[in-house]
Parts: sequence; C-alpha cells; structure tokens
Amino acid sequence: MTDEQAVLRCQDGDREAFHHLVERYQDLLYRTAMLMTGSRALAEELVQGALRSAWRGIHGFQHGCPVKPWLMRYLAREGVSQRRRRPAAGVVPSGPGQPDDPDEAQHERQEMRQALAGLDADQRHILVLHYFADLTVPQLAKALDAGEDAVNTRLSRALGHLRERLEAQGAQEVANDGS
Amino acid sequence: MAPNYSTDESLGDALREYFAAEAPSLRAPSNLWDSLEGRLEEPRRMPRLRRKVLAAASRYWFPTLATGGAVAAGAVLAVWATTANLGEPQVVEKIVTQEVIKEVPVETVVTREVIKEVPVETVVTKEVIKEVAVEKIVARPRTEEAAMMAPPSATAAATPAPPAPAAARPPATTFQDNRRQPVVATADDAVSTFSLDTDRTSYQLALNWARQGYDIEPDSVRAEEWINAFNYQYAQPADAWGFAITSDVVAHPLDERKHLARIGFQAAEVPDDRPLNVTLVLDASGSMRDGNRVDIARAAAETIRQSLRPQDRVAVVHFTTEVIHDLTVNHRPPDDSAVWRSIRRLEPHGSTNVQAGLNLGVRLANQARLERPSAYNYVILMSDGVANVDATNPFAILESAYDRNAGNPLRLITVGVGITNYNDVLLEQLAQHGNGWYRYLDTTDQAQRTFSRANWLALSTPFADQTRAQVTWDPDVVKSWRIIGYENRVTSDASFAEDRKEFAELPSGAATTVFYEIELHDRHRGRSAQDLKLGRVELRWVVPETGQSRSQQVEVTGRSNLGFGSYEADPLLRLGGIVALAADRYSSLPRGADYGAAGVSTDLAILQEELRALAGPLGGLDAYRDFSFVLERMAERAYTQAPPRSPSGYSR
Repeated sequence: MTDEQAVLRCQDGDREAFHHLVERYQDLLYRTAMLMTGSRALAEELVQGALRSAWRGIHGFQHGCPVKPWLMRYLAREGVSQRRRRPAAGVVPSGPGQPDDPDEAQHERQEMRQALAGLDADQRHILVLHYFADLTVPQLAKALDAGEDAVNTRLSRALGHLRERLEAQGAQEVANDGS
Repeated sequence: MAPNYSTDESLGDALREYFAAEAPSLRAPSNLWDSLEGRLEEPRRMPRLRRKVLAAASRYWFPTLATGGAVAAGAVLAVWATTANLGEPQVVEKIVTQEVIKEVPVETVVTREVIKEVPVETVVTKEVIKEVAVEKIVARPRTEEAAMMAPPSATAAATPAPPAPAAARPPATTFQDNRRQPVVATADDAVSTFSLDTDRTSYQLALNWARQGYDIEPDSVRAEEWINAFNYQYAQPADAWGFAITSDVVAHPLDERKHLARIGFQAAEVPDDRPLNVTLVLDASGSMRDGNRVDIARAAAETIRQSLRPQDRVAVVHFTTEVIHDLTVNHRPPDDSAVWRSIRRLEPHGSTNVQAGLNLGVRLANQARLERPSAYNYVILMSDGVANVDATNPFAILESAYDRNAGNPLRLITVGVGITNYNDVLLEQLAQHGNGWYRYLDTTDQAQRTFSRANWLALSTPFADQTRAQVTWDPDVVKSWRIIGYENRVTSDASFAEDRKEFAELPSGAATTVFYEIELHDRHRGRSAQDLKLGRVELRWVVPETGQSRSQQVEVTGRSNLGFGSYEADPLLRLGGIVALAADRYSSLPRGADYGAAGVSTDLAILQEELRALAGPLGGLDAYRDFSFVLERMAERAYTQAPPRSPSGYSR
C-alpha cells in the first residue's frame, strides 16, 4: 500500500491504513521528537499527540503532497502546544555518548549536545525540524504558521545562539585546561 | 583542534552530522500503536471533562432523586420528559423542520444569480418568527408546571444535564437557524453590505449553558455576537465625531488557500450631558420565577436607577397578564423613594403579556419626551421573552412601540434573563427593530457590572444611528470572499444609501468587528508589504443629535504573508479569528459545513490547538479562560455527533 492509498483509506475511516502509516513513520517521528525534547516520556507524548491530530485532520490532507512533511507539521505544532502546556519541559537531550569520552568525535558530539540543551526549546525544535527532519523553509513556515522571512530569521537566530554557546563552552574548556 | 563553526553553513553541516549520529539508536516504543489506537478517536482533554461532568452529575443529580422525595423526582422527570420531547410530538416536528432548512448547501462559490436568491433586506420574515413563537408556547406549560412543583434545589438552572442525551438541550428555548452566508466570487459580486452590531448575547447564553452543563444549541450561535463579545483594544479615533477603522489580514488557520481579513470599527468616546428619560418595563410573570431571573432583573433595574444622574428621569412598569397599575411609577428623579420601592417589589406571578407592558411603557416614554424634548429616551424591557398572552411575535409587539419620531426616537433596550424556557428570537428582534440593543444577563453580579455608572454612561449615550458598512473587494486581488456571521444583518447593496431604522444604533465608545474569509489571487499570496490593498470599506451613519448623515471611507489593507501562529500576529486578532471560525463552523451543525459534521469536529480540534497556543499572551484574561471552556464543550458536542467513521468492511 502506498502512502497515498493509505491516506485515502484513512479518509474513509480505515484505522488499519492509519496503523500502516504509523508503522512506517513512527521511528522517524520518535527520533525527531527525542531530539526536540530529550525525554522519552515527552517524546512519546509528542508523537502520540501529533498522530492523534493527524488522524483528526486526515481530511485536510492534500493529495499529491508527501506524507512525511505533513506528519512533521503536526509534530511541530504539537511541540508548540506541549511547550505551552509544560513550560518547564526543556531538558538536556540524552544520547549514547559518555560525558568524558576521550574520542574526539564523541567529544564534539558531547559539546553539541550540551550547547543544544542550553537553547530555548523553540530554537532547538526549529533546528531539529530543519537539519534532521529536513523540513524546508516553506514547509517550516506552513508547519509553524509563520512567514518564510520569519522562519529564516528564527533559524538564523537559533544558529547564532548555538554558536555563542559552543564558543562559550570552548572558552570555558580552555580556561579549565589552563588552571 | 576545535571545529570551525564560523558560518551558518558549516554549523548546519555539523548539526546534520550530530543528529545523524545521535538518531539511529532511537526507536519508537514497541507498544506505541497499542496505546495510540485506544485514544485515537478521543478529543484532547475529553477524559478530564467527562470525569468532571460525571462527578457533577453524581453530586447533584442522583442525591436529588434519592433524597428529594417524590415531588422533586416527579418534577425533575417532568422537566426531562419535556426536554426529551416525550409526549410533545408537535415540538419534534417543528425542530425537524428547522433542521431541514439547514440542509441547503452553503459554502460553495456561487454566481451572482444565485447570490440574489439569498434573502436580503432582513433575512427574518414575519412568518418564520410566528412559527417559532408558536413552538414556544406549546413547549412552555410543562416546564413552568415542573418549575412550580419542585423545590428550588431540583429546578435551579444549576441542575446538571440529565443523563438522557436529548436532555442536553436547554428545555423549551427558542432560536432561529440563520443560513450561513455563501462564498462569493469577487468577479461576480465584489460588494458586501451589512448593518453593524454590538450585541453579544448569543455568546453570553452559550457560556452560561456550558457552565450549567448544557450543550450549546447550534441555532443559537450568531457568530457576529461571539466576535463582538471580545475586546480587541482598537485605538481610539483621531476625531471625536467619527470612527477608527482598522484592517488586518492573517493566514487562515483551517484552510491553506485562504486568509482571514478583520475590519474593526471603533466609535469615539464622547461625553454627553443630555438628560435621559428611562422607562423600565419589568416582566413579573410566573416564568421569571425560574432560577434567579427575577433577582437578576431586580438587580439590573436597581443598578440602572443608581447609575442615573439627578437630571435624568425614570418610570417603572410591571406587567404580567396585564399591567400592575399599583406598581406603576411615572417619570421621576431616580432617587425618588417611589421608584426604588417599585423596583424592590418586583415579584413573579401570572402569565406574560409583553405587549401590555410595552404599550404602557411607550405611552409613558412618549409623555416624557414631549415634556423634555432635549432628553434621550430609553425604554428598557427586562424579560425572559416568554410572551404567551396576546401578541407573541416581535413584529406584532413592535406595532405598539413603532415610533415615527425620527429626530428623537424611542430606543428599546432588551435585557434577557434565564437559561431554560427562554425566547431569544423575540428579544433580539425587538431590540434590532426598536432602535436599541440587546443584552443577556446570567447573574446579579453581571447585572451590576453591565449597568454600573461608567458602563451605563457610555451605553446610554447614542453615538451613531442606522450604522451600516459596505466593503468593496478589489477583484484583481481578492478572488472570493465570505462574511462570517451577520446572517440577519447582511442587507442589499442598494439599501446602503438609505437611512433605515433597522440598521444598528451604536453607543459612545462601541467597537464592532467583522471577519471575512478571503481567497487571494496567487500573485498576491505571501507578499510581505504592509499595504497590500484588498479593497475599501465605507461606513455610513446618522448623527443622533442632529439627524445628519455621515460617511467615512478607508482602504482595506494588510499583508498576505502573516502566519496565523506567527508571533508577529496580534494575539487578539488570532483570538478573534478562532472565535469567529469556531462559532461559524459550529453554527452549521447538525449538518456541518464543508466536510460535514466530522469536518466541524476536526476544525474545532485544530482551533482548540490554536487557542492553547495563545495561553502565554492571553491566559490571564477571564475572556480567554471562559472561551477555552466554551470551545471545549463545542468540540465535545461536535465529536459526539460525528466521530470519525469506522471501517465498513466493504471495498471501495
């Protein structure tokens, strides 16, 4: 069953077809949600909420469009909604790396993880949606109900803050090494 | 060596690498579908709401049956029987007839010829109202009888909805379904004309019902009154004689092809020392015994008396089957003891003859007008609108109040009280055709707030009479348009040039808002210029003091790339858009617009999401919290009516 066929059947109320779509996209959605929230519980809540909204909004699906950005749009919106519901939900993203891993690549990942954790949830979300989920600027604009100019500004601000944090962490490290 | 993140590109690449390395180890929980499937068709926050309703039901409903004795149980069952339409088949017939009207398809792009078929002038016809009024009388006696039999605890409006689904409709209430306005292709008809409006009763009623555990009746939803119930904080006009007219455009939250255009009309606040002649016409009939409506009417009357100034005069008329002459007080200064004594003695008994009350009220007001020609003249009718003696339709009742003195007209304010057994059509139409406005009060507190001295001074200073607006869309920019609400205020384009009595009377400082759903031509979509010109709007009105006609005209402008959820969009604009669309979609039930009832359910769920996103900037406002609650009830009702379809088992 293609995505298009599955959506058509979903629009007739066929849950099995929706199950099919969920199986196909759940890992991708979950990964994205984990990178956005850093918490298994929050990620699961996010994915569940997004999928429920997608099921309710299945009649709004425009045929001929790909399913992935359409689902990601619900994930992005759910992210906004979750953040409003749980303002304190910004937690440090977890990951497989160990804090004091001697490997340089691992070290860089740890640095990045720490810097991302220091961003506002808004900024972390938009970076994940763009650089991991591959949502283009127009797709992000649609997902976040913002203009493309606004999305570009938000992306550039998020990158700017990330850079500042990475630089500050680097400086701190140099100072620690020196002492 | 530290990696180089100096450019956005290099940092972006580093992020991609990081995410790609982090992500593969992450897998969705294996039971995701199992836990999702059970909750798939459940609107958000439903379980909590259901628990609350059930808890309330077990608190009030079951103990009442268990301990209230046979009388209470019998009375409650009688109310239930009435509301469930058992034993009153003729009422069922009438309601079905109303629903059939709804099945006329709207929301399609129609050509000019079809548009002409939409009733213009005033959408309401005498016949329709007569029929509704008859339905009212048929339904009434049982409820009143039940109300009189039962102790207050069993009949108070606070009784939660009985368990039978049909009983979720407030018993014996009368509303009229107005057909939603169609989508119009600008190439066929670029002009939209309507009377302004500042009533907000439809929303107040809905809020009250939601609080009492009743369903909100889709027929009772007049989107323009919902929109105008909220304060959008428009800037004051630069000139004291005119309006500040503002326009905004924002992306449509439910339809990617469309935008929402908002036009706001803010009247100037003008101090006016002209004295007032006020005639209070108070309903003392038996139906006012229900709940605390007589207390509310008394509180409202007394607050108005206290808000009046020494130069004002007030008269009081009580009516039941006839006028109660012992309690009638001719126009006197507001602090005269006869006035407050008469107000204090408002007690319910007998049946309702609104016409008798209004006849005397109008006669007294006319005398006062002759004696003091410089004063403004208000007749204030406080009632549940359940007229069951003599004339029971608004036009017959207005015959007595019709007033040919265009220079200094009588202004009829109607104040509605009561949750059940309530005639909304009568009171709304009386005010609309009586040079006045209509308010609904549900608590004594609200009565005191509405008529507090500051509010009363503004409300009782007429600023603009016969106020109507005409929007002309530019067909090169706007492909199609549809006005949200205003169904019984839309009027023919030709009537715009005439000063007509049924157009709106606006008090000083009043604000009116109208929302349009518009579709722009592709070349104008996504433009960031602030001044995309969509058309122009003209406002015409008559100055109450001088009788002169005035006109004001501005361009409708906005930017077409403003996302609905964007932080740049004014939160109050977004709130208004959500209110307008929720009311509009809900009022199309039970049939539902666009995608049917299931589509309404989806739209309301999306609007709930949008509303939640406004919790940051607006969460502190009572209006925001109240509307969140109302929207939750609407979503629940829409969902109950039309959950997503389950698989049929048949192939396509």
